[in-house]
Amino acid sequence: MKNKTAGSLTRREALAMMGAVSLVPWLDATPAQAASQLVFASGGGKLEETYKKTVFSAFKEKTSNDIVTTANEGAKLKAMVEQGQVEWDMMQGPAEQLIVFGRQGLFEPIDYTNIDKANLLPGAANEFFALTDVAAYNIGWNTANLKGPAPQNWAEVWAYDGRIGLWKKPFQTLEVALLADGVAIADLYPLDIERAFKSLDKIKSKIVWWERGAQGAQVFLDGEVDVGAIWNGRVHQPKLDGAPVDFNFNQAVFVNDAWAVPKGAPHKKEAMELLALALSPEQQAAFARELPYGPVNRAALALLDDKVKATLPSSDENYKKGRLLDLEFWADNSQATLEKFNSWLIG
Amino acid sequence: MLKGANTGTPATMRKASWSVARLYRWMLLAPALFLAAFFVFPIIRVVLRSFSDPAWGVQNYERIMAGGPYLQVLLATIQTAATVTALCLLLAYPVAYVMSRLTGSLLQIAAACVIIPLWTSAVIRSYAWMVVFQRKGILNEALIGAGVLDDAIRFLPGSFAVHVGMVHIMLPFMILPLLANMRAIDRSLLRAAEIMGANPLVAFAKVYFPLSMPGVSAGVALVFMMSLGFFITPALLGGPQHLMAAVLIEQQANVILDWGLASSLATVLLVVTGAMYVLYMRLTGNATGNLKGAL
Repeated sequence: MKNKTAGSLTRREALAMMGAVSLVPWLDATPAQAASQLVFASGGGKLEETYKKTVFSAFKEKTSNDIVTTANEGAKLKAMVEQGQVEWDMMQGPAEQLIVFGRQGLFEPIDYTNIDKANLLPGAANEFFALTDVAAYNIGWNTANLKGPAPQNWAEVWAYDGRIGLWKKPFQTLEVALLADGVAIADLYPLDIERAFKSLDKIKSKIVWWERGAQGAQVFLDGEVDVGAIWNGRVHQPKLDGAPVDFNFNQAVFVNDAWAVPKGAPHKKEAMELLALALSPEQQAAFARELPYGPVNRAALALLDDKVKATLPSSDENYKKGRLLDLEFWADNSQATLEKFNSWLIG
Repeated sequence: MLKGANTGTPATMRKASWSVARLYRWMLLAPALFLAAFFVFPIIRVVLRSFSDPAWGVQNYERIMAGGPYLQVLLATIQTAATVTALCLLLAYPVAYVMSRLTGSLLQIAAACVIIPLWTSAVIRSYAWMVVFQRKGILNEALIGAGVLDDAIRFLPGSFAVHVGMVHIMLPFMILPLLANMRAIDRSLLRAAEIMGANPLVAFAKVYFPLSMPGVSAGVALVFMMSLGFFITPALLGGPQHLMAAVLIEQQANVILDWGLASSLATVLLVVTGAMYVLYMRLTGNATGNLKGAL
């Protein structure tokens, strides 16, 4: 043994080391199993960035669980659940879509034991999904193009002699078409679909349809349209940066992002914890400071200063100006209405 | 008699059956299996689903036929694809002709000009066209600046913008097959025609153009099929009348999750495409036969 040079091994030592090496992955695996990696399916963009900056990093600090993101395609969700190979732990999407997916049995029931339901907006806590923020489909205009005073309601948007930008989907757009036609905001639902199309008929030649949010913002910023409907979060930052765009919340249709846990999600328990954290007043406030999508937890408003609150659709001041989209209505009628809308478009 | 013929087969013929050509056929096995597993099988499942979701029967097809936007959209899709194909052919034919006469670095530069746009995604190129066509875009500003227009023309959304955008994206897929074909055409045949008294126009019409038909067939088929599935460009540049079948299928597959209807729409599009291809091959005098001749 004494003449053994450094680095040389006896057979027995070598075997012992090999045994030890084989233990390494196991030793390593013990802490790794405590911290898991959640898969979060989102629409990407600014929204996902803000989740990462706020609630995801807070979740990592609290539970040491990592979160990776992926695209939130409904078709993939359905395929995964059908084949029993679910990879996602949480899905974010427009509430009017998630309610349809929930009815098709693609989600786990939400566990509300750790969530303060009393402070949530009415309608936020649903069986298969929870609303997480409030955005607005609201009146917007290009300040450089606008002739005369800014439109104060949808009827004035409709009456504007110029180009009117609208989202090329029946959801939200039919609501504002009815408001423009003089339907009182309290009597909006159930939507009178035929009347909505008649209202759209009146401005058909003036409409510039936009298909995606980024494109919608662009048509307002570039002056492709004069007035119209746009989501507040898409024009908020450009307005602050000095772009010729402005908006108000009069007769706005409030719409929501929602989160849901896919049926058979591998980390169901952790996903429910993540949702509870995301709905906590602190995280709701942190999110709203980054993006002008308002909290669904009323307690979060107390944590925000007036300047931020003025930008949020769900602040007390702004929320009474508009109306929340009726999810149940759209869950019942989206297929038939989409069919009619497509027929109207090409007709 | 058959038996006699078999036993009479000389050894050389048995050897010939293991020729290189035969070996090539075996090499097709791997890609064929790949296609069967990842292309044919899923398509069969889509077709099956169109008859089985939510229940066995033809209810999904009844919905398509019962009115609503579906038939009209399918028709509009075919119309748009056909127009784009015709425009591509008109533009690509002279370009490919000139390119087929080039050699050396000129040819390489021309080929690069055709191929480089393929490196940019269709989404980005569609947005770029929006910048060109919008109300305060380059085109309107230039026309107003030059005094041609008093007020901006509304290009967006519209037929003109959609066709420009789609033709721009599809053009390389027309030029490349035409070029490959034209470079293989034996130009001494043209000289022969001229020696026999044909003027250049007649020589082109009676000799060159028929010889370029395999390239035309390949390009037309490629561009038409790809245009049928177009999604983002018509959505961004097109008006309501450019609602493409792919958009309807995506809505059903991804938003409404009615996979029965989505599958039946996809199946109809598949059948229409297949039928039009078969019809086209008949009309153009069996394109594959010509192709074999050209090779």
